[in-house]
Amino acid sequence: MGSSEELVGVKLPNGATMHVQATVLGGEEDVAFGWLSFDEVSKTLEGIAGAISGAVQKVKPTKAVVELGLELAVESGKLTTLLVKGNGKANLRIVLEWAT
Amino acid sequence: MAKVDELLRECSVRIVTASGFGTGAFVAPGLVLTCAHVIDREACGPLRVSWSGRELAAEIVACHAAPFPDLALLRVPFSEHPCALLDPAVELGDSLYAFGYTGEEPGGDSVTLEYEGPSLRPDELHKLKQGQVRPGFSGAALLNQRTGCVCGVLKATRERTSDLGGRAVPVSAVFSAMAWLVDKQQQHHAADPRWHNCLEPAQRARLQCCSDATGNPFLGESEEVIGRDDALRRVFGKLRAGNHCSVVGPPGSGKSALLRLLRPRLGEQLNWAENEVAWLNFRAIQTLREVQEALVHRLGGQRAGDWRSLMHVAPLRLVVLDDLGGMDAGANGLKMRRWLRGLHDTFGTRLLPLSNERLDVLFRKDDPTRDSPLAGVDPIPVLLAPLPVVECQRLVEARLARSTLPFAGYADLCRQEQQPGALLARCAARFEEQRWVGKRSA
Repeated sequence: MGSSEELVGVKLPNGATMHVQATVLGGEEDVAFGWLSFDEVSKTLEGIAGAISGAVQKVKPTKAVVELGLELAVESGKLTTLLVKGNGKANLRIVLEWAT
Repeated sequence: MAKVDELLRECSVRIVTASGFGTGAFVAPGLVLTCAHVIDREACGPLRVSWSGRELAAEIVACHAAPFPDLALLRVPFSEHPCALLDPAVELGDSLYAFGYTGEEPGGDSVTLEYEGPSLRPDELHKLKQGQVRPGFSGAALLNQRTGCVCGVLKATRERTSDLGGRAVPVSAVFSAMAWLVDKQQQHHAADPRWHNCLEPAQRARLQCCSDATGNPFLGESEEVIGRDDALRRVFGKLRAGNHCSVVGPPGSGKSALLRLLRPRLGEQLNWAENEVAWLNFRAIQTLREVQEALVHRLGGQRAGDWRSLMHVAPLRLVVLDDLGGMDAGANGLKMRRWLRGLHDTFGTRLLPLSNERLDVLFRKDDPTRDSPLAGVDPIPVLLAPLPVVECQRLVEARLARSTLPFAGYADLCRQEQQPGALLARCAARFEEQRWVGKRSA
């Protein structure tokens, strides 16, 4: 099954709406036209950030920079997130520094 | 003369809710058929129907939730419109047409699809190919270009960006969920010939042949109820023990048939007199006053306000709450639910609710922690599951016993477990198709 991109309407938790470019992954879905919920994206972001933050805190760096490449996608009528390669040719880039 | 696809477009409406929009079609004066997921009962806000430049407020008459049959019927205060003609007939390879309101084409867009066959899963949706079904098409009536009638309601896409096709709710499921719509359709099309006038002569001849339901052994009610003995035993067991009893099953699962079976046996099984039981149907009852009037009438009284004194003299042992899905899920219905629950607390009256969904799902807006009068009446309801294959065969054999037709002609329809209503609808459609083929070749 191929994937393509299209503009989809998204409703944010505060009720605001916007259109975003999303990759359509396909799959069966009911076809009432409606705003997609942003909840899954928020949950994914919280999950990744929580997992990385836990690992980083164990090694106690003085400075940490985390870069995530996330892309929005629609799968079976739900908004979801893809972890994709960003500008730095990596989908997840972590820089840790320790002061000498 | 208008072609039938033009008339279908004239029957189509755009349905707008607080959370989005979809499509529907007029199927009787003032009544719009669509998918339940289009109307989104959870979302607050008005429900509006756009038709031919008019904006009409709509109210929900019936709702049978997703995933199956995923149907809803809306009422609008307007009846000067054509209505689509529903007929379940569809064959492999039939060319289908639908008109719906999508995000890209809010003014309306067309799609053609080919019928690929049924899906062998409990929901038995029509599987469709070779057409792009875009968001917004949900609820669109699916015109069978061979028969000139609507054979389904578009529900899903199999891939929104390609022409992989979609799925539709069969009209047999519409009739199974809303049997009373059959009469409404017949009355309307007898009085308004617009749809019939658009049909080709061969389509009209086929319809005339099929409209004579006489002799179809799969139509009509049967005295015998197959495969529900265990459910009936459980209902009597609960009532005998002094408990409430909730019966839950999707449309076509035989809830009404179970009631017909139960009614004459109450005396024999529980030693209850006929006048100690009240039967309420929430398709007809809208307010608490109507509930009270119905009970007072049962108790031999005249005025709704007399219910308390009458109950003190001769309390009802049981109140049957049929078609409970028709009860308002909001504040008006909550008043009725509280009052009915109060009958048990004050008079020991048991409740026997029948619904398509569990009561805690049906009335999820009732606060479960503080105020959910019916949610806990029966924590383990009697569920009417699909009939196993052997019971499906018994059901078809029992119907065929009235005719000289061989079972072999219907054996393939019994190869999966299914609800009795869906099975009988499929058998009835096959019977009519075969009768039509026989008449045509003669």
